[in-house]
Amino acid sequence: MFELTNLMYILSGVTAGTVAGLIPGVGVLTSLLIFYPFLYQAEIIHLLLFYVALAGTVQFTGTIPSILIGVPGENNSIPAVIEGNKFRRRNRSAMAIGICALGSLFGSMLSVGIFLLISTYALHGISMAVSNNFKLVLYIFVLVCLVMMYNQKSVLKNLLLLGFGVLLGSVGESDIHNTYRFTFGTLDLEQGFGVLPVISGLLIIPIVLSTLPKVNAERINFTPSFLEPLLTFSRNIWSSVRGSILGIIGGLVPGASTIISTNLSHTVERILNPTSPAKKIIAAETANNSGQFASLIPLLLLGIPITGSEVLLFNMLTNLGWDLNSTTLALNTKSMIQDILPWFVVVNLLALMISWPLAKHSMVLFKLPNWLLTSTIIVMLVAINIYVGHTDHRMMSYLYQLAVFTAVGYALRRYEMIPTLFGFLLANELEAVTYRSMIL
Amino acid sequence: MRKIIITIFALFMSLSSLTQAKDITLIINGKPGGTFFQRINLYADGLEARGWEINTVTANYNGAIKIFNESKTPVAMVWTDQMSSVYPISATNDNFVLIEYQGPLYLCNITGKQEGKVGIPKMYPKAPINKLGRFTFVPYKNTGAVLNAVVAGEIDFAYMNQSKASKVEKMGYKCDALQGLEQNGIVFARNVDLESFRQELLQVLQTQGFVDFHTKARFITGTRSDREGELDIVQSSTEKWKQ
Repeated sequence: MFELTNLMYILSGVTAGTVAGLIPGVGVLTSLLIFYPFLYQAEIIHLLLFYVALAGTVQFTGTIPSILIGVPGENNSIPAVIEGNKFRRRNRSAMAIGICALGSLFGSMLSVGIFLLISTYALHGISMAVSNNFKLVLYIFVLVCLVMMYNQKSVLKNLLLLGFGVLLGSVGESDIHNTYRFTFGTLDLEQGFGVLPVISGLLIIPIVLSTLPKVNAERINFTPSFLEPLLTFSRNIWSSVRGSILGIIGGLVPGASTIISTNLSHTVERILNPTSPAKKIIAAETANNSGQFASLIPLLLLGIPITGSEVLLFNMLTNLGWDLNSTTLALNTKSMIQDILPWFVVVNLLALMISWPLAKHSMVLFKLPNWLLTSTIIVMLVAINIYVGHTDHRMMSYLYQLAVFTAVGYALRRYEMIPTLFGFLLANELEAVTYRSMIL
Repeated sequence: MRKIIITIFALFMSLSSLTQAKDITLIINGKPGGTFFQRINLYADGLEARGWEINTVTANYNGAIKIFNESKTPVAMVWTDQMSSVYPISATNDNFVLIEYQGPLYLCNITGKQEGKVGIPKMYPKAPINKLGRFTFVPYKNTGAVLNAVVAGEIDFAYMNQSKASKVEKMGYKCDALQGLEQNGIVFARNVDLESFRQELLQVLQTQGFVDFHTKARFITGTRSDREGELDIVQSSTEKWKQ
């Protein structure tokens, strides 16, 4: 279990998660895409270890810029920005950093415990229950949530974006018929559009171009403290317990997931303890982490991805042969989950170190010029497209696709493209599940 | 002097061609855990043990065909003949190496009904089932997905290959072989001497790993004729699959 290869994937995930959490706009999805060349032929267990390390660490480190400079490191860090601002004004950022790190650890550990119980006692029964029709119901629920949550809850916009994604994902070979669609006689298109150029172009490059903030590094001023945050956290531990439970519930909501977790928990704490910024920030940041792990439950136990990064992970896992609901594989999944959990504890301890004692050093990233960060990420994405396109024996096709989808993505940069991502990556699966349910 | 240069050049060319003949790219065109994946890895291990330098490249079926057809160096991949009714590659005298195994297809009865819903991998022909009665076809991506449908209890019959049928039988269901329709597991290669490469692979097929794999999957092996004879079998089988 504690093999060197596993440790390497964990360390890579933690490193990626640290950067992803610190730099606004570079979330879990972007990081997963940047590491795509190293992961798309990895073993399933390694891919899952990387993802767990990445997603787990982001929830810790995303808090740091929110508190220190008032810029949300990830899109669920708004409560940390609001409450962190109160600490910063009183020159108490070190306290906020400490209690958030402890809250994050608490939330993660509690959700891991719940997950362990489920995977020990219910995994086999759950995976046996995943029939085609049950899957269809779950997919409909996920899609309804998607359509209602993004782009200022504009159902029409979300439906159009989802439809656009489904159209893109339909190009190539069907999962249930021996036919090719929309290929116009091009052999390259028989394999469908490349996952990498579509996601890079439509989602990531426009996000990176538009959201990397200009930060005045001179504003970063704090020295970590330890005893006081520990005492404060222990006095407010019930806020953390509430945050964990609400975080798990929110984390299970498709599409919004940890955004719901943090905001729900923050709102409840505002009602219960309106004058205590410590309780509010602890609850929100605990919920953040428990929600992140809870969001993995539908994917790992039911094979249903509910967040943007999970849908890419699901695509990569199925390409690696991961298959949830066959008798023997369910048992493999169970043992795999139980292999991952101890590593998750390691990830949390590493992330705790990075986001608390080492938090000041991690802010060095913000001293880099904005243009350097932006251009580095974009050059990396282009290089990754070239590399994967080359190994896929259609490099030029990848570059054309990247150029076209970047132009389209930039034109649509005002819209949240997550519904398109879901449509693109799940088009064939949705078609197959729907078609079969009509027969069954 | 000119004779010496020509001799050295000829020697160099023959040596380099010998070296090249021991290098080969194997296309991994199946997903981990699947039959194709296991087969190509067993060939890689066996050839490596026999002194071959193995390169591997991973691709889906269409990508594999593209790589195979465009390769200018020795290249090989595993295949099954029924897939030639779906994908643009068939056994010819220029690419066929050998039949690795043969296996009938099975219809497994899950619910005990006489007629009903048949889970069918999308690349399998419907005609042999239609001859048996009135069935409704429920298409799945591959045999693994049909097996999942058996586990979920959503189909009355499962249309399976030999390997998966044995798993279904272990779950307590009855599987009957369909008469007159067999799946041939074959190997394609290019830019190598097909006859000598065939002899190499025949040796690899004797290794314990391959014997265990074929035994476990209950594939029928050891039905050898010469390369031309096996090519005839595959070509006529492919025609049946297309009907």
